[in-house]
Amino acid sequence: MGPGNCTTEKSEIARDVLSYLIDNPDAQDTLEGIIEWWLLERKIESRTTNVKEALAELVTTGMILERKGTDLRVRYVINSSKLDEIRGLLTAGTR
Amino acid sequence: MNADTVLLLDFDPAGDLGLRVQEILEPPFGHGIHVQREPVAAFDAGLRDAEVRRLMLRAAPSLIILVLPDGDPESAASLFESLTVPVIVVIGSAEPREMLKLLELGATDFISPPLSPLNLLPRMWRLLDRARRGEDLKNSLKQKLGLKLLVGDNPSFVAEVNRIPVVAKCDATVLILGETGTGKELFARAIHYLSPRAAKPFVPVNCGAIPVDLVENELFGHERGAYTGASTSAAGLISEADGGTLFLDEIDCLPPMAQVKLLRFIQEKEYRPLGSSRIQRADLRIVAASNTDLRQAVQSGRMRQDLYYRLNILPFMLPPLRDRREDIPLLTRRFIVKYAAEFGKQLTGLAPGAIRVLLAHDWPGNVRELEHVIERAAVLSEGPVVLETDISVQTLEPDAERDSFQEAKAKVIERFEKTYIKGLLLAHGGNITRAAQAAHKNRRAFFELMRKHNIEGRTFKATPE
Repeated sequence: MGPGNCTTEKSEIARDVLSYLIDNPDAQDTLEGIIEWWLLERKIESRTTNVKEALAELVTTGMILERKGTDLRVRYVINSSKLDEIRGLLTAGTR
Repeated sequence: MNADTVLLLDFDPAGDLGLRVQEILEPPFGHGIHVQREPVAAFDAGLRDAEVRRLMLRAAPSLIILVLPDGDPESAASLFESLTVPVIVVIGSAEPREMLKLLELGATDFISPPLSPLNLLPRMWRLLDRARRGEDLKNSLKQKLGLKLLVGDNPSFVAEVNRIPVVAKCDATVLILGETGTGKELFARAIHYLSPRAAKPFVPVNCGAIPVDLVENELFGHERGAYTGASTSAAGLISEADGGTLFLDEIDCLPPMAQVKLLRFIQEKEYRPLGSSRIQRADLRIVAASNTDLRQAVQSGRMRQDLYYRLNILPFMLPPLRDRREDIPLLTRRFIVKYAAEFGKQLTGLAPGAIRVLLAHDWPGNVRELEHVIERAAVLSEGPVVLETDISVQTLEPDAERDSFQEAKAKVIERFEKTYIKGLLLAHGGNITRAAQAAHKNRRAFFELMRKHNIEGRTFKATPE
């Protein structure tokens, strides 16, 4: 890992710690707890937000469809009428 | 914001617990909630569950408080299937085993008398707040990933890990017992971060590390002028941990006066800082831990019996590493990855000889000792594989200056016997008959030696990778 990566990682960690404390201003713990739990929670938080946003975008563009069950939970499925378009997008993405 | 409805299902209408709960939930104490108390007659289970479902549909509550009569909590088992919101059980008295059963059945928390607003309301607000924020997905991910920090496949260890989410969601005091280095603080932290108190402080304290004269000051704080040199008032750790969890490790090291004050705090949620005439309140969860047998500490008078009973509501027993030898390769891999990254080394694993040394050692310092050994090995290792020569474990060495001839000889013999037996068991995959044949001893005598040194054949069946 080069020094540049190290700096980026450090600033990401610093950002995660601060954002955790902004969301949980009463929190306090030792180094172990911050490594084990605070940073884990930040990862889950950002991953959940990103996945939610990505799904919303895919629904908006019609690539995937929302299906609401009787239990009111939403399930996502591929829009089979756009299969060719999706394949094209994925192929373009791997180039 | 609409008021949350709290449905108070009173299965003991003849008793006064339901009325007392209602009194606490209504103004002036409770506010921002709508309380609906429903006395439920003791029908047979089917009719009772149908009645509860009907009440649930009508009230659409955010939280249920279930007042149960003393007795067998398992009789309420089918009831929990109808309850789709957090449930606090209020019960006159119950054994720790019964309380755990209630949590396993689906109760979110439980509370027994004396009931007070300070005991009931904060835990209710926390649950309502959590439900309102709808964090189920994030919490289940946190639980799944967080519990991976507790590494091990040993059934006793896994059973204890699996109890964490159940215990975490309630607010009762927890006692974690286990030898030094078995992971008591890891367990305490998992309980805190999977509990409704996760956003609040986690304050770990090693009671044994605080000088006896300073313990009360550390825990409860002091007022200005409380003693010579106390020029300003200072908050104690209880105040620091307000809202969160206070982890009291080596609880048996608390001096008697501090034990009395702690007991009073656990019971009343009130305390008085040194030199203060004002009573202060704090709402926190206590997780205590010890590496000694606390029943013995009670018998010898080192620990107050009433405090022991107050702490021992939900106990955890963490097995020592020598009793879960099969986890050694798993833990070792984890530490190798950790320290390879930390020291910038390309370590890929351990040589079979190194694994054999690790499996044969008794690990009096448990997982912590294993971690230190691997850390040292990672530093010393010159190639991609950690060799037997990189591993240095401390063995029982005779002390020529202190030990008598007999004591020194006994230590050497003990060390020889242990190493020899374990070496044979390792070589024969834990097969006692074959190990005994290799030693030219009969199986019974070999087994007696194993028993003398507390060595179990099954723990040598782990396949090193």
